[in-house]
Amino acid sequence: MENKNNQKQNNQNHQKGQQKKKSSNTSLIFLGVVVLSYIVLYFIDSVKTIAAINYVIAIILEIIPILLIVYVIMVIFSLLDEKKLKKAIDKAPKLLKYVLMSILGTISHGPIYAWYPFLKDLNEKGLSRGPIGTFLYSRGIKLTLIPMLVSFFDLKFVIILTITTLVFSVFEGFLIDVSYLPKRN
Amino acid sequence: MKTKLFKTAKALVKNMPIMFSVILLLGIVKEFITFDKVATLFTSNTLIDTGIGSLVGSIFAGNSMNSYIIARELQVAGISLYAITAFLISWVTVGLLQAPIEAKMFGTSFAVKRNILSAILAMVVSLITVTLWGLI
Repeated sequence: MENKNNQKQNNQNHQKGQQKKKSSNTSLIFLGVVVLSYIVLYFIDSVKTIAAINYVIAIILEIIPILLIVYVIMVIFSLLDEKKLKKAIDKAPKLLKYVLMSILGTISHGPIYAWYPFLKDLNEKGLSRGPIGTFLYSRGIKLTLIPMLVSFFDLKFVIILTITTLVFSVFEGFLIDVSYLPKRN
Repeated sequence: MKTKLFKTAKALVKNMPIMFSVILLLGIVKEFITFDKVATLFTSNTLIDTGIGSLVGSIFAGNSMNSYIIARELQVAGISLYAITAFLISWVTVGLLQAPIEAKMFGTSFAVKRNILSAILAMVVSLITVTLWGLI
């Protein structure tokens, strides 16, 4: 019986390894296609292509410090007792998870893709996909850019927009979680 | 401790190729797709324009500051505030360009559901925000 279980576990690990390898290959192929597009575009319009490369360099320089922050947060999370963390996540009231992720999303800074590894980490530690959706939606609120938005529109508009976005970030998380509930027969 | 530092770094580095691809795509969109003709896409129907605003915001991505500047231009061009608000919200909450990385991280089903839902909610948020703004 134990041998059978071990064999099953080994098969599962092997399949997971194969899937990871396949996913990694797909990422590299995708990157290759995009790089190839740049080479083709260079021959079509070299000025615009160089401007695009400069823009890419600027984004990379912008996300390096954010990736460092994400790295530090991920290391801190990895130091926590995983079982206790999973238990705490499981036990926490659902609404609290949505609200906390909504606040985190609002104060998080920089491009969203820099935060994906951190969110994935939380997901693997037991956080459902709903609060992740909440985090991603609440990023619609840009605290640092509020003065600019106020100057373009007006304060009343920005306050209503911010509150509505926060409320709907929680709602989106809830809907995503509902969509993952097992269907009743 | 050393192992945890290394494992975390490895997890981050593993996601670099797809992250880098998305950034490169953003560069192409920024330089090769002009925003000048965005205003011509809108009709004078509030509901249709809100939908178009959400759709356009979903396709474009990048720094939010750019979306504010485009939104300002759209406002000057006389586009409805419903459409502009939907555009602003979906610019950040929907990421068609980031969808491949999102699908890789959390599964295709999540990426599809979340982006469709976010585009619809961008319209709802816009309708509520602008209506309340007019009423208060």
